Amino acid sequence: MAAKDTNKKILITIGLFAVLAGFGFLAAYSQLNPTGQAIAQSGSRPKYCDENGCIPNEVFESIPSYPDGLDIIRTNTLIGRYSVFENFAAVAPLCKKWNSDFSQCLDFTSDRNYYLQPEFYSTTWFGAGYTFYTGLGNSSFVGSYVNVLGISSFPNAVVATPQSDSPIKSGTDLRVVTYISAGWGVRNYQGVHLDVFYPVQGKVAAGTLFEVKQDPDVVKNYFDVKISPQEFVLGRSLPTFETKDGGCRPIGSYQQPCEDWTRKVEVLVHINENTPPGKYLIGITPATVSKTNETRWTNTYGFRYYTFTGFAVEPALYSIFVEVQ
Amino acid sequence: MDKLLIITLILAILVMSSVAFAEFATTKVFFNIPQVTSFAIAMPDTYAGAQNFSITATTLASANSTDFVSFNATAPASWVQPSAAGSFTRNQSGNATPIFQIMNLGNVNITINMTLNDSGTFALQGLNVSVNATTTGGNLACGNKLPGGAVGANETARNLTNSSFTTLIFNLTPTATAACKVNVTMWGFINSGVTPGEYAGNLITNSSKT
Repeated sequence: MAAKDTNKKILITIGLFAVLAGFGFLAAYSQLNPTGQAIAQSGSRPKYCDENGCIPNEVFESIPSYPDGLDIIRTNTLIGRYSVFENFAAVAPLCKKWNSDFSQCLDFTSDRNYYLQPEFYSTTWFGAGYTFYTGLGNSSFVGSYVNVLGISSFPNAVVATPQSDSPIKSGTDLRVVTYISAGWGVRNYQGVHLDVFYPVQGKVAAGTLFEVKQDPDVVKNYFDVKISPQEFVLGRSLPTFETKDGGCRPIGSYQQPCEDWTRKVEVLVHINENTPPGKYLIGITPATVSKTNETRWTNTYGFRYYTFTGFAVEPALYSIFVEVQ
Repeated sequence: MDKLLIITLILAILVMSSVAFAEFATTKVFFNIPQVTSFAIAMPDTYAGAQNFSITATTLASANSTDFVSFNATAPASWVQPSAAGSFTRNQSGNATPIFQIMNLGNVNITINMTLNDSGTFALQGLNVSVNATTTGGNLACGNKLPGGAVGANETARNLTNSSFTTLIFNLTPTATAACKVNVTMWGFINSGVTPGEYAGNLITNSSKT
């Protein structure tokens, strides 16, 4: 009898442990379901029309099908839910069912299903973006200008501040992610080389104002920055949003290699020894493409290739604000 | 056994607490600014809507549409207006039809700079930048401001070199919120003729005879 009671207590203990473990797991991944509510699966792309016509389906033929949960992921990106802009699939409704292999939800490659969608960049797509495509399905529509070059970044800045359990000081490595895209309605392949520079000043509102004034010649010694990929070709965003594995419209009879119209770019920042405490700004900007790649890509894409070097913007295409302790 | 139960519960709580706190500790370090920096450069092109789906050429010579900018002259010439290589229907026509229209397609104001990749066998004799927006008390309606001395109400002449970037416009507001497009017109000075058929692959430096 005593042995039975003991077994019962052990089973209860294990059961309680399992329940608590489940709650703990949910707490640790609370972002998976921030509201605790069921999230409707949309799973279909809206129809876009304006006075010029409606966007034909061909525009989206190369990108992954409209993924479940894009709407909530979009909201999460806008409210700053992600510390690093990746692993979007982990919050998708598909993975909320808990009835499949959860490890699949953590597959970073599935992020492609999201960041290759124009709707991922919702604030600009629903603004001016979609209007570049509505005339494509209307043979009577006549355009007068066409985008030949253009680039985009989202998010365009990140602020890294130290916390009690996560100090930022000499020796610290930081990893941040942004997405570099062809601008809306760009019909050429673009060779892009991203480089690091240190602006004289910059500011951003992240709760409170984060303002930096610095001497670039001095600050450049404080950081080692690696960008990956640093040099790449952006696929076209007109007439279709191209992807590497989803295909692309051939140039005449020549089927050129296809490229993603958006690239995930990872930046690793190492804070060097003896970096004094303070606020710093690291800028990422387009720079000159290597001659080797420029020649190779020019031969590959011919008159549909351009190197993105003639134009630059301020603030930087991507700004990394860092507070060092 | 009751002790075992209590100890296990305490351990479970401690383990789960550490996991939860670890998550919060890592999520608070970075604050991404969910804004988009984006711009595009457009060139003149008259096309039917569906035409963009059928690019027929495989070589530059047979291309029905290219986006190389060409200053065409077989002998020295001044104030040459550019056109798209291979298509003189896509030419600049003074300020009325600029060779470039630059749009801010993001949701933050941006300052736009421009440079030449290579001066080649020609030099830019003039570069004019204007904005198709009206002015109010010296400020452009779309919230931007042109650098340098104003030529007209909302335009300014700028020098463009291949040695540094030249600011075309400060704080251009997004196109979606105001119809602000930067018009860039250029005039070339050709100091020697160019061999017919010669071209370069850069967007703004081509000096070919097409």
